[in-house]
Amino acid sequence: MHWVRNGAIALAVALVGAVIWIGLQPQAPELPINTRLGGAVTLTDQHGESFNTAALEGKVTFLFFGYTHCPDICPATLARVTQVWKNLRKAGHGDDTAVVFITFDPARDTPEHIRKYLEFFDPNIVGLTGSAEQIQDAAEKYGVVFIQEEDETGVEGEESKGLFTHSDFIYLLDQQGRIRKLYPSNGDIQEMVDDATSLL
Amino acid sequence: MMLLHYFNAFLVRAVLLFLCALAMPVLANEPAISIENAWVRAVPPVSATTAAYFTATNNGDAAIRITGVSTEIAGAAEMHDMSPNEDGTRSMRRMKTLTLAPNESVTFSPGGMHLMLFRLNHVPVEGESVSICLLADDAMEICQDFVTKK
Repeated sequence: MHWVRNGAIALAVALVGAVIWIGLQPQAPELPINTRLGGAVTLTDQHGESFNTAALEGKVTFLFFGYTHCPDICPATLARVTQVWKNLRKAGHGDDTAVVFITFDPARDTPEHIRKYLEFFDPNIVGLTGSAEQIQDAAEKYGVVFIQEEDETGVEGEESKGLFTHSDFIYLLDQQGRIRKLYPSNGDIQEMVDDATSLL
Repeated sequence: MMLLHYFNAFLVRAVLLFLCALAMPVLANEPAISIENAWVRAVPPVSATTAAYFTATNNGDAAIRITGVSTEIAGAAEMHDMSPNEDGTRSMRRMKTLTLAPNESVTFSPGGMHLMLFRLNHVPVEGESVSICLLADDAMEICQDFVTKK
């Protein structure tokens, strides 16, 4: 019977040790809540339906602004965020997460065009457009700056007139729609996956 | 016999020199710029624009000034640079020329210098090769196959 008692004691000691060890491990700090930026916006999705981003509450969301005629940063960012979402899906978080793309080029980015554009990356990404006023309102809420090049004071050359100078952050929103973190457009994929997971 | 031996040796050297002379113009026409890691960004089929990237090295003894870009798949192609602004935005600036000093390498990469391809008449699919030419002074044209990838 001694070996049973000794075994039980050893197991108890090991368990207590494990609990203490886990407790002593440095914990990742909780992501702060950005109270200055963000908020729900109502725009038009790629299916032509009105879409209020409040509908995404309950999901952890990656959101960013761009435009489909952007040749460099925007498609790279979309590909990056799509990969983040793919990784989250593999981890079983597909139903708890979302990705939103908001254009600041509504003149060219119609719902139909955005739908076709997003199909290349992931048709489940929510693509939003709207009137110039709606877009401006959404951009201001998120502190996004965008300026379309119109003359030679900006980007030189005729071809560049359709391009935008713009900020290019990726926003991480929690399940209450609050901004918890901003990433550069080339943000680390694993970091984004880990941060999103920490909010679930 | 000895005389014949020297004559044969002379003949061999003469032939070698002649072959070298024939090869010289070919070597002289080799582009002094080499291009590596050339790729085009795969974009949705409805895209009007895309970007291309590469590393170019000037292997010659003289500076080379790149003055333009051309490709059959785009209505226009330009060199651009991306520069950060104080307000957190980033602007693209067209580079009309780019001079490569002897032995200098320059890398065009996402978020930095890149080739802009405007008004695409064909959107290349992933894995497809696209010929893009850099135009330089003295009518020099350096063409390279760029592979399309995400």
